[in-house]
Amino acid sequence: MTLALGLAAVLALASPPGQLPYATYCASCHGADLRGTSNGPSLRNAGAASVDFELVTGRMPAAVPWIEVGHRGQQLPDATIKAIEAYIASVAPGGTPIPVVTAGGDVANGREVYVENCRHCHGVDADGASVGGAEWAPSLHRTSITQVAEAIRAGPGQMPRFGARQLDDRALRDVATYVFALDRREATPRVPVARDNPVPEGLFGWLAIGALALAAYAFARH
Amino acid sequence: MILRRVDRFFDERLGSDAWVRYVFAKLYPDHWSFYLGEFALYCFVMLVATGVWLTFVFQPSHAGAFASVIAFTRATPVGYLMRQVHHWSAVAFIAAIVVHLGRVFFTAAFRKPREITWVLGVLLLVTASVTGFTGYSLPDDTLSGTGLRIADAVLLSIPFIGGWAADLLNGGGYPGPLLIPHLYVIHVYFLPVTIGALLALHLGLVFYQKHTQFEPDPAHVVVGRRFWPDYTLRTLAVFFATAGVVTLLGALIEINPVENYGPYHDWLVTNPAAPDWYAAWLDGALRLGPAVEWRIFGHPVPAVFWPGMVLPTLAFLLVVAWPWIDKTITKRDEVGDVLVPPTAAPWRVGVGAALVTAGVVLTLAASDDQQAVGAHVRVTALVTLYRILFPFGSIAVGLIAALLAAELRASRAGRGAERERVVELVRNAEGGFDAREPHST
Amino acid sequence: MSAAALLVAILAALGAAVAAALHDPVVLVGLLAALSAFAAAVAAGAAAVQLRAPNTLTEPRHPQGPSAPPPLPDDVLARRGAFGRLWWIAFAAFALAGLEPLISLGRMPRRNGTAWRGGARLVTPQGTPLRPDDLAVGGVTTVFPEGRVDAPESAVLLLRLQDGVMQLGPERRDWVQQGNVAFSKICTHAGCPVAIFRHLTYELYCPCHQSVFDVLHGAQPVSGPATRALPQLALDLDRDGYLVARGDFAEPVGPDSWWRTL
Repeated sequence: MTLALGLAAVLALASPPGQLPYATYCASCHGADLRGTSNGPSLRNAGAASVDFELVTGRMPAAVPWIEVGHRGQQLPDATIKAIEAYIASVAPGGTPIPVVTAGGDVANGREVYVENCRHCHGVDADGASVGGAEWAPSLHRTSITQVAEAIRAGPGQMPRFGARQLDDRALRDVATYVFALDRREATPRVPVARDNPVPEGLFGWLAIGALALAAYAFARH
Repeated sequence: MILRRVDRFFDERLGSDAWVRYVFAKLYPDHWSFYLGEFALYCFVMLVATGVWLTFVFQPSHAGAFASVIAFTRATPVGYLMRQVHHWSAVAFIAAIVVHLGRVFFTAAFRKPREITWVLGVLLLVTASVTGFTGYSLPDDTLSGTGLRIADAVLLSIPFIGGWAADLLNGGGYPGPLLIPHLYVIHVYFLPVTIGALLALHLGLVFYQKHTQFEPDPAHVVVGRRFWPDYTLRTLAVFFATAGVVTLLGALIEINPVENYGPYHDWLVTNPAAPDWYAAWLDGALRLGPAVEWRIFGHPVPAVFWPGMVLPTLAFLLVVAWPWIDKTITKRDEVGDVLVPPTAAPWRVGVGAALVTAGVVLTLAASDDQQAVGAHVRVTALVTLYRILFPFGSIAVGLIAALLAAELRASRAGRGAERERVVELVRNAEGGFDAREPHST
Repeated sequence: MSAAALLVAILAALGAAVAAALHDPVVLVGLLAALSAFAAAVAAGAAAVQLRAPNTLTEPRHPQGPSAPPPLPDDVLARRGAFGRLWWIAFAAFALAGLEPLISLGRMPRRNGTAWRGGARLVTPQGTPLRPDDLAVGGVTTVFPEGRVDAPESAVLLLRLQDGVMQLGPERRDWVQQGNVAFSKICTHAGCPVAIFRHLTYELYCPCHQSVFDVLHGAQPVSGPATRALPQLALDLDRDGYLVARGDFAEPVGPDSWWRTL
């Protein structure tokens, strides 16, 4: 036991920082040399934005190879993620860097960018929606502003990529601010019903007629 | 006192008292299922009341429609509520018509001499649905615009005259400059007037021919409550309850948040894209329809023609002709003032259940993409499932419903029969039992 | 009961009116209005029940059956009198004549192509022209012909793929510029915008009726109800290096109709 710990410590000291967590969590699918295996794609051109997005949203490390589970919350401690990112960046530099965005963009312009580029997948209220097959664009409600920006630049999964020549940093900040603001927006009448399509409305319409019929049933013959 | 003078004024000129006396003494039914049609009637009253208000604040043009809706919705709580209650009333209106139609179907109230009332009722359902769809389209938002685009494609798909019809509606190519004005005049004038006329005839026939009833005895009389004051108060209660429900929905749950959808452009779309519930069965049919484009004399007949045009036409013909189909099946054409309890005719229950199931399957298919996300399955798997369920599920549900109804009828008949054969068990000398007629004490 | 409910109805109705006039929140106004309606319903219902009126009153039904004698005696129908055959033919003629104004309301066929012309630059909805490397590989945007943003049926999806992955026939080889490929955004099924680009599998997906189009093979439909490929816009580069169209679409854009000619 002591020996094993000692060996690990020596290995950790001897190897570049981050190699051990990379070997532990990533190498089985992406390969010790980052070139990918039959279980997972190469990370040589992944870029920091993509790596950070996958790790921070808990899409990686995946429980089953090739199966991304969607947003399930960060799985690894911050320090481990930083170490893995640093290691990958040291072996395979380049790719899309982690975008630096802060809130405080123009919400109106952000909405315009969202409507033109994001809404047809993520939905009117960013609740997420089907994009065909068994796949769906996820809800954007529990995400951080950095994660939104990373996804836009890196295009995880089936999502297209939006480079800086298409959406500049100002547009990126605006749309990230808009998405972030969605969580804080209040509907006027406040019963929480999905506000992105009429299916719930039909259900409530039928409930109303059902309630009226029940009332009539109780009332008639009295 | 004023009422007396008004009454005198008209009576002196028209002799109207005899008629008023007749109306006040007229009998109305006292069964809960007869209120279903009244729900629809009072939803229509709410629709007209709120709709008239809305005509004063809505701008019927492609340039101004969306902005005017946002403006009056934001300006006052009255504007907001008017639009909310108008849309909720429309959703409930068509639901009430469908439930009422179901009641009439399952109790065979459509039989002679009420076939005309049935036909008028089915026409009301169709007119109400089209009115709903045109109204839903008027705000010119992204969601309804997408629906209009699909309706345009269906219109366009009609052989030979499709292009002409679409051009007529659009006033040019899609989306034409006259589309919103056309929809507006159709929605606020042509269709409401049609509904009003159909409703007047429908109710006039109910008034003139008197209502059906479950009570079989005595023959050739109608049973019920007097209109004044008994039924007047009751129908007033139904009106206020209906008004209360649609107002409550309007106050609490946001419907058709067009501000959220944004104005329409033919290159923008929302996701999920689904229509209001009463149009969903057609959208579901478009999703399930086969990807085939046949050519007839070298001309294409687009895939949307079959599910979008042929299917609803066939469904309409089937429903509208039902009284005559029913006559053919039952080989009976006598006067049917006395209703048939649903269980008494299991085959009709089966047909009805099958038709309802077919409609429900198509309606469900219209949100298959949302279900695929919820169930983590492929959309195409659900399409296949619904394609199977549409014919076979409907038939299966129809058969099961018919068998259940037959079973219920049998068990009721059995219970009745047993009640007639009440016996007294008496111990006999061998230790067993003998049955004998009960003797009164 | 009835009087109390009516009192509630009156107060709630007045309250709703005052709240609306004072621009109180919609929820308050609506709830008061609904309360007033429900209270009125209770009042009317309770009053009706209190009447204890009988529900088994009876009145005779109308006698039914054919009228005797029939209003139009057989000999009137048989005779060629006031409504002889010529009258019916005249009515038919009036109806036919009336068709012409109806027909004149619409034109057919109605499709005249899109706003794309040879040499028209591809611009974003904001009007910015695009060079071949403006989109990231795996990127997508909606474009219009320059000066005609929002022109009906002219929306085009510009996709940027890895160079050389497209598998087009020889006649379409030079329709692609450095991995940039463009297809009509209007679905050939029912006209919805085919807005969704599934970039890993090179598919376009329509959110209305779930048609899937295979980008690499020229946006041929592979799943769902669509029967025809999304028309492809042939791309070229102008002297300043901007993406331009080689001309209008070779095929009709949007949903099909009887008069569509190929």
